[in-house]
Amino acid sequence: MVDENRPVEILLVEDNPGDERLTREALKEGKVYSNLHWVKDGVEAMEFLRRQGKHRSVPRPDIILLDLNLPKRDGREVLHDIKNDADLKRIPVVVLTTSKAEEDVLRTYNLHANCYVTKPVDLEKFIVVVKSIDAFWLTVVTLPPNGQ
Amino acid sequence: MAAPPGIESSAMPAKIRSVEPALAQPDNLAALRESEERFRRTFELAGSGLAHIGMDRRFIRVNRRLCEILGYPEHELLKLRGKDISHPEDSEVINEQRPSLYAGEIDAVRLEKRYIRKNGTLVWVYFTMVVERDASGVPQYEIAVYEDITARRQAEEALRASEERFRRTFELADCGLAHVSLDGRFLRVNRRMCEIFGYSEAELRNLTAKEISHPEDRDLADGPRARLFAGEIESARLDKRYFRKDGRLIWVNIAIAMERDAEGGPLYAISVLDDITERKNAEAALQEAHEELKRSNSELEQFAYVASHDLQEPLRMVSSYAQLLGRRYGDKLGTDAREFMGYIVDGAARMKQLIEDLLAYSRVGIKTRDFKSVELEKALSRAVANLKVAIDESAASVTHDPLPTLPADPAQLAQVFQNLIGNALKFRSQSAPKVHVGVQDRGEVYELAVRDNGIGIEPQYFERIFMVFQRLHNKGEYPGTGIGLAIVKKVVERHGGSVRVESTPGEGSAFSFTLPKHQKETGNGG
Repeated sequence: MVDENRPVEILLVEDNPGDERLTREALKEGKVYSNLHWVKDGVEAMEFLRRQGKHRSVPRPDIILLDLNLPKRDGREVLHDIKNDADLKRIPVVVLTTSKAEEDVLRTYNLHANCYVTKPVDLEKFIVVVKSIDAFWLTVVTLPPNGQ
Repeated sequence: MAAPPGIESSAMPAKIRSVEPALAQPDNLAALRESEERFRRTFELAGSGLAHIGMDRRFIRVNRRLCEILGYPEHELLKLRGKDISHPEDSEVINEQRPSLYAGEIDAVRLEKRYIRKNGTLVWVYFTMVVERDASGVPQYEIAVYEDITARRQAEEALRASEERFRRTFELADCGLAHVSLDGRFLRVNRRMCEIFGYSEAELRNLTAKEISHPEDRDLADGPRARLFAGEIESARLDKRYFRKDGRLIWVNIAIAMERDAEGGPLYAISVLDDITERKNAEAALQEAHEELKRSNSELEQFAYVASHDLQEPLRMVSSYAQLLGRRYGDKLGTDAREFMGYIVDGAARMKQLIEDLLAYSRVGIKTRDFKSVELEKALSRAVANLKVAIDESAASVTHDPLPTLPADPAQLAQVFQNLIGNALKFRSQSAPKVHVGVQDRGEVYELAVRDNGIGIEPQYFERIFMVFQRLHNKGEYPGTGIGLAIVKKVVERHGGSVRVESTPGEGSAFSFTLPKHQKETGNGG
């Protein structure tokens, strides 16, 4: 079972430093007890998840926040890799999109993301989103781990 | 018989010499009479006109048939010469040949000539004439045979006239006409045909259709031609490319039919050709323009999509950090700074809305056409659910007729209802909004109408309100980006319908739109 008193390990895959900082601030404002790990592209995201290279001693994330427009290997490919990896596929992935339109388009690809979130312009809304990620996480952790 | 013997004897003996033996031999006389009678009867009964003509060219003897042919009674005819009753143009044609006949160079005069009958009508005659001579070869009289060939000549004339008419029609026709042999050679071509191909008639007759065809179209006519040969089809029509003599490519529309002999065997093909190069070029240009328009439209939609998507990123930064600033350091800022920050956040929010709306508008066209059977009542309830807050706030009532089910994009139709009802709520008058969605069966289409009791619209704005970003009110009065009705129009038109508005300022508006009951297979896909 997961220790509810430890921080939520969050992997943010995002190339925009402004968004990274904003996520960090929103987590702070939302008072979400968490560790935010930040990687800037898809290749690094997979290295982090597979604990390769400099990411040898990182924790396994409890949740992945995945931006879609990434350099090198884009979010869609990363999502595909995660969901096709027996070891990684149970980690919940929240796909961050820029617009509702983009979200609609993505749904048609049937990528098996756990959740789609449109990044709001409004900070308050973003804090709500981050908090809901926390709530989502708690829901996930209170469920009995699959097949264990 | 008391004449002086001297005179008698000197005058008579010659005559007596010739007659006396016959008189002296009654048997011979009878035979002669019988021969004469046989001749007379033969002469009279002959089916052809017969005449003996004296050296003075007068008729000596004519038969009944000749009187019929020339239209004169016998006694009148015997006073005339053939020349007297000839057609003026033909009066000398016999005389021209007489010298040869008399010189023995020809055995007979044979010719066709015209006579004018007594009643003035014209008769064509096949005339044959020989000359009779005595034992010493001195011409005595002429024997002429007349065959009435008027009917034949008239038939020939009619045929000639018909051929002339045909020839003129063939030549005057403003389409190319050609007779093409079974092995593909041009047998006969008209003037227009020469113009189309730029070859002279003689040049064309030395060519085959295949030789001047565009290589890719060379064998295009083979299939239809074989079927025409076989009698499977009466005529064939096709468009084909050729090269003119000057090398220019032309498009020709050809209709082909087969001319057959009495047994039905093919003789030659009749081709009617039209130069349709201009039409083909215009079609191609139109097609090209159409493709170009489609391409540029699609590019524009892609551009709007990408632009609005990418515009959101920096906008979110501006807005979020301004808010974060206010949240963290608001108490350290002065009133002015907080007000300024308010404008930043408000501006960003409005821009966000504009972009979202623009994106929604471009997505109507960009979205894959995915029509399914939609219960309009469900689409309406979805719209009403989305507007719940606004409906509750304005204490509005939204009612509707029983609505049909039709093929449509469910999300887009819900959007149409949402935008129209949303407008009805937004542009309300003092009294509580009453919105009714009605429907009328118009045969091929349903006409839906969203009626309200709002402020209404001046007629001069009926067109303008459906254009993107067109607003009639300032933002303080009625917020909005001015894209809602543009989306309505685009969605309805994408479904093959049309939208219009009727309104009386101060009383309310009715937005009507049609939706086809059935969608065509080849619709404007998105």
